[in-house]
Amino acid sequence: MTIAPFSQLCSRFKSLICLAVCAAPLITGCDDRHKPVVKIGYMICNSESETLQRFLPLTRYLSDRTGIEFIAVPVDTQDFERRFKAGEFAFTHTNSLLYVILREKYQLAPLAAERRGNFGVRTAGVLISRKDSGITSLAHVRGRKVAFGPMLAPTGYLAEYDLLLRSGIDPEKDLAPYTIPSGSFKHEKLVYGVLYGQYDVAATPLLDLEVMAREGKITPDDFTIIAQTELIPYCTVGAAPSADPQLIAKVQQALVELKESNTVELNGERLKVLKSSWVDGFEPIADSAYDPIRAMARRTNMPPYQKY
Amino acid sequence: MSFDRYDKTLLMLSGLLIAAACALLIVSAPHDMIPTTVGKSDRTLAKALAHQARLALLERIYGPVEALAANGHVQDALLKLEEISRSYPGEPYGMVLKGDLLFRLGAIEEAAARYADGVKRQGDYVDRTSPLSRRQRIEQVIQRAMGVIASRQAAGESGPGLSSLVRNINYLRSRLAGGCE
Repeated sequence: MTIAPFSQLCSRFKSLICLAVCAAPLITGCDDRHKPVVKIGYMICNSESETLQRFLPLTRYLSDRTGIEFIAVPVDTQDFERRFKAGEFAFTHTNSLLYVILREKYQLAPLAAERRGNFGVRTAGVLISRKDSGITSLAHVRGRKVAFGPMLAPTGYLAEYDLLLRSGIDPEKDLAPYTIPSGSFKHEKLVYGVLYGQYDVAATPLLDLEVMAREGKITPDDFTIIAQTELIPYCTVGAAPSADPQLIAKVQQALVELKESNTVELNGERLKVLKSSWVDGFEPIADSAYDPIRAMARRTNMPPYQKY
Repeated sequence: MSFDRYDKTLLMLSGLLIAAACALLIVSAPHDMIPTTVGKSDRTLAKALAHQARLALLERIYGPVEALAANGHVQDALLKLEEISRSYPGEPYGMVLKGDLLFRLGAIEEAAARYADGVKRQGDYVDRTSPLSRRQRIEQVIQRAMGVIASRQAAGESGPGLSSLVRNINYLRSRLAGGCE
């Protein structure tokens, strides 16, 4: 066996070092690529682009806080259950009715509720009319053109439908055929529909009215609030039973600790997470807080208790 | 240097003009520019006048909200207040008024937060002698909130909402108790 000369050994050693230096970024890159990926399904509120614009900073924040790569998946309300059942995402951000449906059928765990508007983690539904319409009470709603929000909206449909039923008005029989506007931004369309005389009465989330008044889009003097439903939880973050319990705890902690001052870097911009998401904060919430919604869904024969 | 009659006339007229101007300045000057004795009673009066003017202005701004609430349209009042708050976002009266409305609508936690915000900005709301005083209502909120806190703590609840409620209620209690007197 011959031994290589010292100079040759040095040269080989240098080559090895160069190779290691060149390979390091590749190895790091590989690590990033194999970083665990977890998807969050965000229920589309007004439009897909608006939903992503709102929640991409929150998704990045969760990635930064947990060391897991979270991916935001915008999901149509009507497709949510099917896609959740198929395991497309482990975490959810939905309205409270969808939360109840997923809880009852698939044991979704509640992590936190969104705090927003005058009533914190809760809000209500209202029935509104135009001030000069003469419609000032539930008794006046009978036989009128009424518009509701999307069918799975807890404070844009469910709560008002339930309120009418409990007041002795069956929306299926006692109203002029009711409508649900099509397309995006349904809640705003309803408010403007009443303002411009398209509908006599509209069922709308109180939160949307508050925001529209605060932004100067409407003046409350133009409307009469005919009736208001009880306060119920609104948007909720949940986790599938299959999700890693440690990760669930980390996500919950990150949400609850999220402050107005928290920022993330996204597409070259530094953004405030809560402000971008239109949220004031997150609160841990018990499943029992959703019992009023369960009662409403039972009374109105809505999912997850629907019977044919 | 000698003055002829023309110079003397000019000098006399100039003197008269200066004297007239001084007299005019003194007569037309605002009262606070005239060196008079500004006593304690004047300052008290000025303060009282400013207070009256403030009350009248608050009544003019928030009158529509209070009228709606007085007629039982509490939610309409709250929405009207949202609209007004765009123009006067930091006004403590608006915050305390929102506290009143939220309390009537059963939102104790949020009502306590608004009262605490308002009282931090202006102490009149816990002053027994002030026409703006809300002591009684704040005491009611504290009483209700203590029950809420106890039941939530008993249920093992935690989180920023509960902490913030406790903090706000403790603040309001300390303001009602007053300082060293």
